[in-house]
Amino acid sequence: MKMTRFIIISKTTLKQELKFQLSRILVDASSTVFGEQNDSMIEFFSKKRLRDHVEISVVCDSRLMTESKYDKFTKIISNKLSENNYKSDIISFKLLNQEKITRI
Amino acid sequence: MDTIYINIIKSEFTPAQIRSLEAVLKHHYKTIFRTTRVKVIWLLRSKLDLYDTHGVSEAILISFCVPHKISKEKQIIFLKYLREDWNVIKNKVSNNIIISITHTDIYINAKKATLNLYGNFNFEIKRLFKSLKSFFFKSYIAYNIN
Repeated sequence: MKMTRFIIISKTTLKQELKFQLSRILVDASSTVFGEQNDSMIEFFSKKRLRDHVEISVVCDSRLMTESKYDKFTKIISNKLSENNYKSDIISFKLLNQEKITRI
Repeated sequence: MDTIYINIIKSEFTPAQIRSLEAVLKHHYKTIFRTTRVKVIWLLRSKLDLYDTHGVSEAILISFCVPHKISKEKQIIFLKYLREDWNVIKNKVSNNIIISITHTDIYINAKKATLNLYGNFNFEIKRLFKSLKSFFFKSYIAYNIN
């Protein structure tokens, strides 16, 4: 099964509710863009000495994420964040490619 | 050098189990992939820091950062051996192990992009001390991720 990984790094530990909401938003966005067959894995990290924003690194198969898909993806997430009253300007995206992710 | 990151729940394994797991992992890695040097880094997370499509996940996430290609057959053999030994050490059958193969170090890339100057310096110093400690005291390298 194809998998998309998200590494979310924030300055402070995010509240449980926010982690849950963010993970749902990311799961929904990746199934919209990549299809229902795509599995998602979201990892939350926090480090004190960070810049003041939340950084979402998207890790997926390089062949899976085209430029247009990436644009669509970030747009869906920004819209969902504003729907949930989160300011999307504190969040930045970064695309990291990887060859293969397998669940065994 | 190849790097393996293992993302586990903090209280899930005892230090002795971690040492045993690291030993079998290194053994299989060297036997199957025939690489001389491999570094294992344990990322210890709290129970609610990993989510998947279905909600909170208790999966064990193993990421290999390998600069070279690994054939599909070798990957399967490696996963099979690893899971068998993992279940013996853990004394429990786990079907929740996720393996990901990367050609760049995604954790380092993600971290470097977000840390400020002092944070980066601090991180590099910590990394150096942890590597030295593990080399001299034959201990494992672990980070609390939150």
